[in-house]
Parts: sequence; structure tokens; C-alpha cells
Amino acid sequence: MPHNMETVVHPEERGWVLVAVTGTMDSTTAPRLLSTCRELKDDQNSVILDLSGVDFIASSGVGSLLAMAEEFRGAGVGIRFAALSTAVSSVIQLLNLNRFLEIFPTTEEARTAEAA
Amino acid sequence: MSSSTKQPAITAPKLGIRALMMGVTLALVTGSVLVVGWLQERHTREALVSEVEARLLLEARNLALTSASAFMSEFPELTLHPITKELQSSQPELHLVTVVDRSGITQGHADSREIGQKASLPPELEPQSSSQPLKAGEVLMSSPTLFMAKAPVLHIQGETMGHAYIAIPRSYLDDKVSASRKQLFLALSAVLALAVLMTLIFVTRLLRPVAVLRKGLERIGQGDLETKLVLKDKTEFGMLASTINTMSSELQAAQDEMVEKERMAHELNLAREIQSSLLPDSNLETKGFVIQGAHEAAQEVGGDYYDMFELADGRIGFMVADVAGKGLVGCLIMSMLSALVGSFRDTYDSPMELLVKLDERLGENMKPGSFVTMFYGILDPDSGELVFSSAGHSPLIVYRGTSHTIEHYETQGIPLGAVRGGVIRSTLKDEAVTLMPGDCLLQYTDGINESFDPSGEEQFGFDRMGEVLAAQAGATPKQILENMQERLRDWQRGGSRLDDETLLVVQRRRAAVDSSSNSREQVQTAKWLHEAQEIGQSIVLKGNPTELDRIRPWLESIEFLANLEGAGLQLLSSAVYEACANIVEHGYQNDATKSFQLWWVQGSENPYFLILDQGLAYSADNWKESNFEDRDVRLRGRGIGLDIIHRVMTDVQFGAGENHENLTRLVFNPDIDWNLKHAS
Repeated sequence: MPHNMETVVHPEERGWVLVAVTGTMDSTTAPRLLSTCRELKDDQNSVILDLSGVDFIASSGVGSLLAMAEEFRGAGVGIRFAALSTAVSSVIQLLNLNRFLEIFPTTEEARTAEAA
Repeated sequence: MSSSTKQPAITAPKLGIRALMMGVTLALVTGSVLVVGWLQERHTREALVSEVEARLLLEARNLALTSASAFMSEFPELTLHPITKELQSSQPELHLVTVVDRSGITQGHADSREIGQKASLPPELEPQSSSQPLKAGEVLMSSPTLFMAKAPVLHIQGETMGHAYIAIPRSYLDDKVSASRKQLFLALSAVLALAVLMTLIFVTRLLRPVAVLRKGLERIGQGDLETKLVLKDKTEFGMLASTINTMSSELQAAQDEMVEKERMAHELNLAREIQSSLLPDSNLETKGFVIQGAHEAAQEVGGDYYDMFELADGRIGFMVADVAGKGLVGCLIMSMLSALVGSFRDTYDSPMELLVKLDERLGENMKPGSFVTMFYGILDPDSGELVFSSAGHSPLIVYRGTSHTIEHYETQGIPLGAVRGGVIRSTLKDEAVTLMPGDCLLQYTDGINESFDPSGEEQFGFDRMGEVLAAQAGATPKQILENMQERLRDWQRGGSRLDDETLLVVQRRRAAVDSSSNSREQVQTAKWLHEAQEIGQSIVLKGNPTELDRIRPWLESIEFLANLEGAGLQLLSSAVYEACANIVEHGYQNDATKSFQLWWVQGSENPYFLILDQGLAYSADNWKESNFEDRDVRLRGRGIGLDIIHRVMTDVQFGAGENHENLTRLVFNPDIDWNLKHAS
């Protein structure tokens, strides 16, 4: 589906918010995710991004994940990346970006992990 | 009308029916009278002979009886002389009246000098056979000049005392016959005169209609087929007159038809001349493009028209149109169309706007119900971009040289002049397609795709046209046109051409390897392109972000790539996506009317992807790997696309094509571990 990305926001316990992303993350859709997450950050919500439904990620999508991580970190708000699809994980691995993102195999693990 | 050669007036016939009839009547009457007269004369003569014989016999008997008593006297001559004299004088026609005794002495004769003399009978007498009953001693005789009867003069006791002779000349008979003949001739003359007169009157009456018929026929001969023959006649002439009237009406109709046919033929020739003078007589070649058209006129000239021309700004305009309306009317609209396109083609940048203008101007001059379907395209030979619009015309067919695929571009416009008042504007739009080297475009009129096979059940259709176009990849436009026409002839198999057939081919030539080129770099890029066009598989994408979604399925369709292990295909599509996204976003600024072409080339060396685009050139050569350790780089989150490309590919090369296109070559890395074990 071209440029189709959906984000579903689930408020969770202890100030965490789960944002489930499905579809394509490209130059059209990535900025929308970024602004959604920025709003959550401004409200001091910690965010878990469920990326299991992302079937394609373009460089702009990767860039927005990196920028998000840095902005959250700068604001002192947590952001975790969970259940990366092959499309996402292969690119993250290719660029060796794992060390800049808090990545968890599942959303459950992201929810229960201790703060880094 | 055909000119009739003037015949000299016939004043009189060489052999008139009147003279002929009179001659025949004359001959018949004369003949029959002569035959009847001859028979009659024969009969009369016989009757006269018989009568003369009877009379001679009777006279001879009477004379003999009278002589018998005279012989008893002493001087019979005294009695017999007055008797014979009396007989002779009362019947002067008698030649001889004489009585002779037993000793041959004349006893009775009109001439007294003969009495007592030895009787001398006329010479050459022969006994004559006769129907008269003769008594004993009686004899009938004749000579060439006489008839004579001899009767015996008998004594009372039966003894023959002498003979009585009575003769009459044959001329007596002839005189009688001749008199009768004279009468016959008189009667004959009278009858003949009457017959000739009657014939003359009758034939003249009978032939009176001939003059009327002749006058009528002469009038027809002079070309007057309107005036009818008036003839009240109950004979065959009356029938003839009505036949002539029917004939002249039919002649009139045939003549009218012939005049109409001649007029149509003249009009047809005129229309053909106009049409052929309007159509271009050569092809157009510029900057790697060849545009060539072909037109075959139907028996009855149709209204097909095509043209191509260089516009003031260096771009190429071309059109194909079909005027509804054949013959001279169609041709006039065609000339009008040609003139209008000539005057407005440099005024309007958009094909759609030109069509709207043409609709407005044609609408002012065309009869309601007539219309023109028209395709108009403007080709930029530098970029290969074609912008076109179609007013109810047949779909555009494009053959893609590298993917060997056929694309149809259908538009929704209504024909020019079909609906008045500018309605057409809302139905038209400009569309764009980019022609890559090796691509070929076909425009045409419905005489091609709607051409029926001999059974009249199936049309030639778009698919066959596409097949021919695809089969002719690499041929010159001229060859393509000829082959298309040949296939069409085969399809029609001798059937007549019912509509004009027009074809227009626009071909973009394949890039040639030009080793004489100045720069080594140009030679190199020309080689890539040549190889890609020869052996590569390709896809044409528009300058629209949604088009990028077609990359992944296309890659999956390539067997070699589909079989890569691990995340191979995923990463390759990311890398190719990034390269293409650069062109769409930066090179083309998301302009969907532009296109670019992507090849996968598996040659002798490492396989590679090649991208040919006409967008803004980008200087990607001085790329440096992003340093993600730098927080600012991560915060910015941009320029990562090139990192993806460089990490997936062995090499990334850029170059320029011969017409200032951009070439991007992404060399496949056969050594990469797609399982990404190198990345922790």
C-alpha cells in the first residue's frame, strides 16, 4: 500500500505509551510519526514503538527513528523500539545503528525492562 | 453529358415502304391475272375449237342433205350453186363451201367458175381427232391454216353420191381468242390501277405514325429526353411509341446517373488531391527521434489527416485526426483543421488548450453532427517527454524497448465539434509519457484497428497492432509502417478498404556506442546504456513517489534477485528505492509527468542496476559516509539513503548520457553476507 502508515496509540501503565506502527515509513509518512511522538514527548510520556507491522522503511524513516531517539533522550523521556520487522531490522543492522537505539525483541520486554 | 455526333438529316429512304408495297402489289396482281388469263385463254381456245368443229360438221351435214336431193336432178349444179353462194355470203368467215360428186367434179360452189372443174382441196390436210360424234363417212380435218369438215352426200338407198366440204380458217379462231385477250388486258389494267391506288392510300395511312416516330427519335438523338411521343395508334406503331417513351425515360435516368457518377468521380479526385497535398511527404528526424507517418486512402476518400512539425521552441508537434465526413466535405474540414493547427500550434503550450481552441474554431464552421477526433502531442526531444491530449481519438500505443512491453494510453476527451459551447474542456486533459531510447510510439486512425477480416466478424484490434509493434523492435519506423500495413493486408485478405488507414510512428533510437566521442566518461556511459538496452530487463517509472512501490515487485520478478538468501532482496530493494527516490524527490521534484528507466543488467562482469533519468543533475560523487557517532548527524536524520546504497552496492557510479540525461550505475556486490553477520 503506497504511503500508508497507521499509528495506534495505547496509553499504558506507569506513564508509558505504546505506539503501534504499520505500513511504510518513507519521506511522506515518517514526519507524521515524528510529530505524533513529539507530542507524546512534550506531555512527558515515555514511548514504546511497536515496529512489527512496518513492511518497508526508507532512509527518511531510519532518520526519523534516530532523530526521535536523540530528541527523547535530550528531553529526558524514554523511547524504546520493539519487535522490529525484518524490513526495519535489516536496514538498522546494515547501518550498524543498533547501538543508538534501545531495541527490544518484543513489546512485552520493552515494557518490563529496567530503565537503561 | 456526352456529346452526340450530329448525323446528317435523312430526307428520303433509298427504298421506301410505299414503293416496295406498290411494286409487290403490282407484281402480285399482274402475275395472278396473267396466270388466270393464260388458263382462261387455253380453255377458250379449246371451247372455240370444239364449237367450230360442231358448226363445220353441222353445216357439212346440212349441205350434204341438201345436195342429196340436188344430185337426184339432172343438173344438180343449178340447185347447188345458189345454195353454196347463199351459205358463203351469209357466213363470210367460211373459207370453203363446196360439194363434190363421186368422180371428184365440183358440183356446188359459190364461184360458178369452179363448177364442173376437178375439185382441188386445200393442201396439208390431216384428219383431226375430235370429241364430236361422227357418222359414217364424216371426217374432221385440219391444216396449219384451216379446219375442215367432210360429210357424205347419200342416196336414199345409202349409196354415197359425193361429199360436201365446209372449211373455216384458223385465223377466225385466233381473232376470237385475241378479242377475248384484249378484254382481259383491259380488265387487268383497270384492276392494276385500282390495286396500286388502294395500296398507295392504305400504305400512306399505315405509315403516317412513322413520321411521328422518326421525329421523336431524332429529338432523342439530339438529346431531348424530356418530350414524350404522342401517337394515338392501335397498331404495333403505337406499341413502338410507348416503348420509345419508356426507353427515353430510362435513358434519361441512366444519363442522370452517369452525370452524377462523373460529378462524384471528379469530386473524389479533387478530394484525393487536396488530401495528398495536406499530408507531409517526408519524415522528421531530430535529436535521436524519428517521426514517420503513412496513409492509405479508402476507395471513397476518408477524412484521415496526420502531420508533424517542429515548433518555434524546438519541440516537436505531431497529430493524427479523423474527420467524420468523407469526400470533399471531409477534405474541406481537413484543410480547415490543417490551417488552424498551423496558426495556433506555437500559441499554445498545452495540447489540451490547442484542442479546445480547435474545437471552438471548427465548431463555428462545421455542420451539427460532424466532428473530428484528434490526437495532438508535443514532444521534447531533449528530455523524451511527450505531453499529449486526445479529443475522442484512438488510444496511444507505446512499446517499451527494454522491457519489451506494450502500454496503452486511453483518454476521455470528446471529439472536436461534437458538442458546442466549450463542453470539451472539461473532458480533456494533458497527459505525459516519457520515451526512452529504444521506445516506440504508435498513433493511428480507426481504419486500422477496426479493419475487418473477410468474414466481417473480427476486427484487427489493438492487440495485433501491439504484437506487430513489438515484433518490429529495432526496425526503422519505415519498416514498422510497412510491416503494419502488410499485416493489415494479410488480415483483410483482398477485402476492400472501407476506411482510410493512417499510421504514425515516433521512435526514439537506441543509444549508440560512439567511440569517437571526446570524453572517456561519455564512452563509458554510452557502453553501459547500450549494454542495458541490449541485454537488460527494465521498468519505466514516473516521477511520482507512489511509483517507487513498483520497485519491490519488479525486483521479485527477476529470478536471480528473488533467490537471494536472507535479507538480500529486502536490502537491495532499499538501496534501489533510495536511488530512485533521489531522482523523484530531487531530480524531478515529484513531477508525475516525467519518467525514468531502471535496468537490471546481468552482463559478463558484476551485475548492475542502471538508472537513466532526465532530471536535475545531482552531484553525488563526493559522498562521504555518515558519521553516526556524531549526535548532530543522528538528530538531523538525513542523507542516510546514500549510506544504504553504498553499503549494499560494490560501487556507485554517475555519468551523463548523450542528450544530457543522468546515468546512475549501482554495481551489485556478490560478496556481501546478506545475513548481515558482520553487523553485531
